[in-house]
Amino acid sequence: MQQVTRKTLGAGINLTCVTTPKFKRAVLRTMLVLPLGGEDAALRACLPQVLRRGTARLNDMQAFGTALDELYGARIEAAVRKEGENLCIGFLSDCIDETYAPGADGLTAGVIGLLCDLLYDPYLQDGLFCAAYVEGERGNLIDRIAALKNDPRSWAPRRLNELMCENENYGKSALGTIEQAERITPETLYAAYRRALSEAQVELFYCGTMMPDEVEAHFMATPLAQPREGTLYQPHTVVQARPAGDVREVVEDAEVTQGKLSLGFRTGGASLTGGEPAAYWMFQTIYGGSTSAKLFLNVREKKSLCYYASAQFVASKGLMIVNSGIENGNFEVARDEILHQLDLCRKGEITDAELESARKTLVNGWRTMLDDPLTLERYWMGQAAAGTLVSPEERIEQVADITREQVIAAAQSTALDTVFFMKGAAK
Amino acid sequence: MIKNYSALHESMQTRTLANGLRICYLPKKGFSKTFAILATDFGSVDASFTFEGKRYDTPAGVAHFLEHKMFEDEDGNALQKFARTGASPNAFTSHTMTAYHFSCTDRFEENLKILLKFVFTPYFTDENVEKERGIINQEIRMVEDTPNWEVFVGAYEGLYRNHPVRVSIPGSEESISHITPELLYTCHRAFYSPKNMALVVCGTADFEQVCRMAEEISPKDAPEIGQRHYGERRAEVHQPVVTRKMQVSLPQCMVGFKDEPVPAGESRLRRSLIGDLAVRILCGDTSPLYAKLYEKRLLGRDFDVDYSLIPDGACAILGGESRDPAAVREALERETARLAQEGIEPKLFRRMKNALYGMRLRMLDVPDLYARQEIASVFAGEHYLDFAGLFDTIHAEDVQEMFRRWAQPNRSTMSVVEPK
Repeated sequence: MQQVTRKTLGAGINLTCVTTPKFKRAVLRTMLVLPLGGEDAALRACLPQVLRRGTARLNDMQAFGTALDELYGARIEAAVRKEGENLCIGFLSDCIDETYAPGADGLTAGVIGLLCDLLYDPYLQDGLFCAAYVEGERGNLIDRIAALKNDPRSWAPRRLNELMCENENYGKSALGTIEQAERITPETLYAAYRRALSEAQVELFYCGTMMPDEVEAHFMATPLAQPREGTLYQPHTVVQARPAGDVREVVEDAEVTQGKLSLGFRTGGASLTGGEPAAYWMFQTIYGGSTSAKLFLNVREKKSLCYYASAQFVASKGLMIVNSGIENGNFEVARDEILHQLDLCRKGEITDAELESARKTLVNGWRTMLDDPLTLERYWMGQAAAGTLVSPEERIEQVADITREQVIAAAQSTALDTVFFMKGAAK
Repeated sequence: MIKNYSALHESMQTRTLANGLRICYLPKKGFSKTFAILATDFGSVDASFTFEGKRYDTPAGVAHFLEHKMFEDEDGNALQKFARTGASPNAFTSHTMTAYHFSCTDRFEENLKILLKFVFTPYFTDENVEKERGIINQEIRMVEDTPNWEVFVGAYEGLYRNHPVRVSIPGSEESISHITPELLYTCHRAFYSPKNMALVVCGTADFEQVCRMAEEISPKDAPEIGQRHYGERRAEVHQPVVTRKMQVSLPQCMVGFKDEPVPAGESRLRRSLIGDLAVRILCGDTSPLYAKLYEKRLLGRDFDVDYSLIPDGACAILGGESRDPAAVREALERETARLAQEGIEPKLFRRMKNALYGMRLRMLDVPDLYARQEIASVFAGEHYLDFAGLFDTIHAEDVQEMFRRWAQPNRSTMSVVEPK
């Protein structure tokens, strides 16, 4: 039903098309792939937001918003993402398929035009970005960085990454730092924009009914087709082993009531491109990937220690993260129980039922992905950033014959690196 | 009954069983997954009711507590039964409903059986209720630490004086300490009657088989439903401002406009379309006011607008992060008054209507959301897909009329979470 094609349209410009008749909407993406971190980090995070303020033709939010409404409420959002040790910046759109509304002919071409104008034909004043837009978005970026702490549930794993990977690019935030953001000017931002356009891999995506040739033709009719000079960035991520020495344990106070516990593990090599990711997914699912996993059944259901306790396999970087929200006084008890459940996996205490349930859960998850164009976009972006092109269907095949021994081996290769506890200090 | 919606390329099959359970099937051709949701028209707002001749004023959070406990059966936990098939089960409690659902790509009927069985079979003991209290206490702490949630609760506190919607859905540690197995059984009897419930399946299924299974597993008799009490209604808001202090980098605010409830006999779906149009015209992300406030850095990309219907009430809530909540509120009130007086510019109205149509259409691709919308419509005696036809009956004057109601004195409130 779904056909995935990938084509290079020019130097470092790739188009992934998922062709399917089943959706009433189309999802599109134009994204630049660049290294994560570095001096340009805040500039790059600021860039899509400034570009989103207006194009040469539609030069303010009102004009741009009107155009979107007229395209039957098409949505175009600036995106800043971290995929492994790569930074992806650009635009994501979803719009109705043009066959579903009267007078909507050419809607997809219209959206492609807007997406490419945002990236390649911005609103400029005297050859630079509009100073008011830059100033506004610099302020917004500073606010966004400061706001990362507002939601404790997402802050704890973020802080864990920062601590665990402090000597790796992965430890850097996709948004850069407040100090970097404060230094942004129209000049530095425009220069960063030119550098990004010349260095980045460009990842385009379309999911919908239109045939790939036609999608390609629409993209090629935009300024995207201009030739590029300079050395292109090759996306990559370094998967590291756990550093020697003791496990690092960091406790920090926060003005919240519930403690947040995050444990960071190294997979021992399993990642999107290395080791045995299929076995690792099986292990992670058995350990903490569903409501029948060991963490859910024991840390939550049996011991009533938390509302949530789950494990996530960060395949783009070869990490596994366990997150939970607990009573402050239960830090040691919860940590020990989480590690005890891992030990049971290592010792092979995995039943046939657990093994089969995990396999089915994974298969169900990947199949379900085929029904959601936004999830597919994210999936294929992750693949492209990792330099691999394994489809969800292939992932399903890979878990089909994973054995208990392989799962145990995955558990045994897992090494605890850092424990972070955000202690609630509020009354 | 089969209904075709050719303009939307959708169809549906519906039936009401003898016991009153309403069933609706929304086929999604080509989709791998099938989503099923079984819900009761019983949410956090249904806290006070009369049942079997007795008045109950239940502790806050009982509907949500019941949701947690339903998964447990004498022969084990339903979550573990779903695990055998690889299905992905979950549940939620909103102000207006409690819903149990799963999605699967395989063994649909087996999963449907698990769903129907556990939702219609209560099993509560002192021990399992006590155990759940610990888990829910952690959930309550989690949401109480979430500024987005707290600012939302504050908005309802400001809008309503008596209506139970002003109380946080999971309740508090104190309120749930009073919940007992007996109370849970009473709520189940009072509101999990088939005639108060609906089943919606979206994906690929055999409709006749779904009906047969529902008939077989749901109770034959349908007890009377509890009579709910929402307190004395007031047209004005309860408090003009509600303030909390939390660990946030910038203030978070939500401005609420109190609307009149939908009168009996009027389409709730049509009202919600008018409400969605109104909030988008007022300050949706493509509106003139949004652009103006964004350019002044009074609001950001997280600013969101919503119109909601609750039993015996309706309101619009608009909000996000802002360095000056009072200025945002003032601008929203001023724009509401202007739109109430001057009406909506025809070009703006047309494009907003276009956009809303596109958004509603796109949602039909998301079985979870589509089925959720359908179940809410079924509880109101309507069908979600009728939105397309209702669109043509909505005119700028309808939206202006809504703005007129919002623009009356004492119809707005503001909830703010300020940095500590």
